[in-house]
Amino acid sequence: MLEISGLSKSYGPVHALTDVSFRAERGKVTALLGENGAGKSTLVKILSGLIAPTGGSIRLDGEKVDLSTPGRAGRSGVAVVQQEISVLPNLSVAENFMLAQPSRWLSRRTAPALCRPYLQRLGLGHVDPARSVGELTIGERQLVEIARMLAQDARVLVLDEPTAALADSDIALVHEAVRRLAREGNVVLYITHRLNELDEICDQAVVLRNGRLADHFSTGDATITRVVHAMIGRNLDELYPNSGLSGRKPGAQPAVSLRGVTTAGLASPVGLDLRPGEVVATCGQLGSGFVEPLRAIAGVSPVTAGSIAFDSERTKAGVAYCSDDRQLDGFFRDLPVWENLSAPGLAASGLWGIASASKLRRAVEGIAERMTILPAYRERPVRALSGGNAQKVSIGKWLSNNPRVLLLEEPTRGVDVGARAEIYRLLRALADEGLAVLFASTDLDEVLGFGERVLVFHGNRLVHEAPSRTFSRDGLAKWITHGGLERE
Amino acid sequence: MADLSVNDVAARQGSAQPAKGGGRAWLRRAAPFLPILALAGVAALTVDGFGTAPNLIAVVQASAITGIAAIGTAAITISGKFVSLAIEQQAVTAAYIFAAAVSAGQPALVAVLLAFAAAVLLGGAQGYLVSRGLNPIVTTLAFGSVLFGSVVMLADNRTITLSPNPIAWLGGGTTFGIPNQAIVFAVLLVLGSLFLSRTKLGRQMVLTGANARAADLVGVPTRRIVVFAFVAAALAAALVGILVVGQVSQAKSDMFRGLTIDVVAAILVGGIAIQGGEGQLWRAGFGAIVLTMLGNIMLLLGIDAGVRDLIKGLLAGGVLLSMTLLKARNP
Repeated sequence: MLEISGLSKSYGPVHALTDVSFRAERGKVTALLGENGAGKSTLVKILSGLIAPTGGSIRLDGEKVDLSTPGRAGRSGVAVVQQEISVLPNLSVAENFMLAQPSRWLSRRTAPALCRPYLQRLGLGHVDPARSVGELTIGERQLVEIARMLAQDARVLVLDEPTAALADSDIALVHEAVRRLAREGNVVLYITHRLNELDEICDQAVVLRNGRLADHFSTGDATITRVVHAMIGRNLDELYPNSGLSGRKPGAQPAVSLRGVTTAGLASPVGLDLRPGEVVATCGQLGSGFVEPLRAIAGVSPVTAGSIAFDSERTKAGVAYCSDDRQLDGFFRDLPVWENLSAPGLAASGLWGIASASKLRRAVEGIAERMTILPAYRERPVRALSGGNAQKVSIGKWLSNNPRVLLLEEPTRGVDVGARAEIYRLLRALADEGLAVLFASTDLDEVLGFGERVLVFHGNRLVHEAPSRTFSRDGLAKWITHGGLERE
Repeated sequence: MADLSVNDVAARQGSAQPAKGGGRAWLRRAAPFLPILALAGVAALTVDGFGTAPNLIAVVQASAITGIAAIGTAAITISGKFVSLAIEQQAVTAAYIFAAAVSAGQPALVAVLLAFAAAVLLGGAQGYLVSRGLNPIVTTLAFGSVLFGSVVMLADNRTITLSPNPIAWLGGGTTFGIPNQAIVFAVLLVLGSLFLSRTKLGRQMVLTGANARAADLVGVPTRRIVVFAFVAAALAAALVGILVVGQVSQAKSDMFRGLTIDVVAAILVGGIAIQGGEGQLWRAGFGAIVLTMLGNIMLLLGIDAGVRDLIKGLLAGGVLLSMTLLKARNP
């Protein structure tokens, strides 16, 4: 049993963790929940030996664990799988294993045999250790990473959002492996933003808020309301805002019409009408083509056949697109928030002419207000913001260019539940003002909860389109994995 | 307007680390400058001849040449394409075109326009290639080599001497005791800083350097901006070529030996982020002054040319290293 008692960590006057105590039993999966900044990553850093706590103790089976350096933490049996997948894609599976064991004699000949049992334990028996990691799916890579940790005889496994970047099929793979690890008698601490994972694989949950223990319960007693209340300290009336505004009708005239559109990522033509005031979702497995309609409209994926028509030039100029990788192209990480927010407006105003910093700053104040970005953050570089605030910048920047069509891939990936609700509310309000919103997501709850109409993709084809209220969650999952409902 | 960009940074840094972070932010900004300012002070007191008016004018004049070229090249750096390694070759080209046109009896203005027109073409061509994805270092290196070879070949490796020299006043003259080259340098520095912080093109150039993919998605014409940056750098190099012809009344193939490295070092020593996206042009000018001053002090102290280059190189490397380390510590 892992016993954490009175754990505290402060940086000067800032308390990242205050008197946190809980127990995580062997053989069980303990979920660690909390908003961004609640103290989860501080706890993970302490467990991985990267920082020293200012108070409290950590015991494993009654004995104090030495966490003074990452090396010692590893030898004490604590293994941390970080959120970013850190296996090296150019090396083979076996070579990645060897990297994790610097103290052992390394040989190319024996390494495959050495790592095979660990792969088997995680359900990766079919993977040849000589294969390069780059050929594996992201889910398999995540498992290789976990297997690598197991090779160090870990008894406590800390998994930091292992499924954040995965598609549903890969998630099942990771869940299966996590359950197996718990059954073997390990302590598993599982950090996640996906609340549905609580029911699926966790036995108990620990919730942190503002560096303190907010709640601790077994998942049998958990309701979404209780979890969310513990995480954000208040009741969240509704994660997904009500779409049925009285008297609101989507415009009759579509803002954007796709007619028989194909791209390199679509095997058969797709037709889609997107009306002002609508929120439409596309979903599917990774690589199923469900992001292609967005990319075609945004002009990121070249259209190979068919046509895209806009109701006006104004709409065409007002297409806003956020990719699923905001770190890569969603914002300017080293520039302050206000400069990020003003960028699309600045670009749309052309290359020639004067642009004063103070004017740009003032122009985006309203946007920052609307995106609920606190004034204190507006002068900071985006890299200093949490995932939720960064996503608000990534989406909100488009408001400086008066968008007519919003195209969002994975609008709330890596965003905590409080900020998620804010983002949904904002998008809903924008749609009610007459914007057309089209989002692509692998999060089924989001697709059903926030989308009014759902387009399901399978094998690079559009296989189904229906209002979201006509789907059950399981039904949608079947459409996504099989491209149709099983006839029974 | 150099002040404006300084304030921007102060605001940025200060709010990024409220309360106790302020001290370190200040230190980080000043880090590249302090030892160098101290050096100037000590040199003025201890090195014979450093503090004299003629020597100081010589320092300013020499740094003006490196500085003007560095201002132009900084456009490339800020837009995220590192540096041009064809600076000295482009300056030599402009010097030859100008000198040849004047010797052929053209008025000075026509000769200047010819040199600038050539610079726009040369810079535009390199910018076009780089904006289509070619590596800027390799492209400019190859371009410079081809250019230099062609010019020397066409000129038959002769030295063109101008007598009379129609722009001697610009290259070598002074106004109120200040070398005209230094005035050009200062004016360009102010104009360049204004351009970066106060014009749409300048601000979008900073966005391009900060994250070209994000800039592309929000509608910034990143390719055109890269072309523009290379044209600006080529024009600055051409101006340097013309100014030096004005100063020495001749064009010859080895007149700018070492200029490229000096310019790159000036950009680094000034503290412009080599990965782009940091819009503080005055740093390039500052770097040029510092390097020239250091070279001058070492010359007065009788230090060998080899050692002088060694120390300049170490300085550039040291600043780069310290910037990287400070950045790593304040993510």
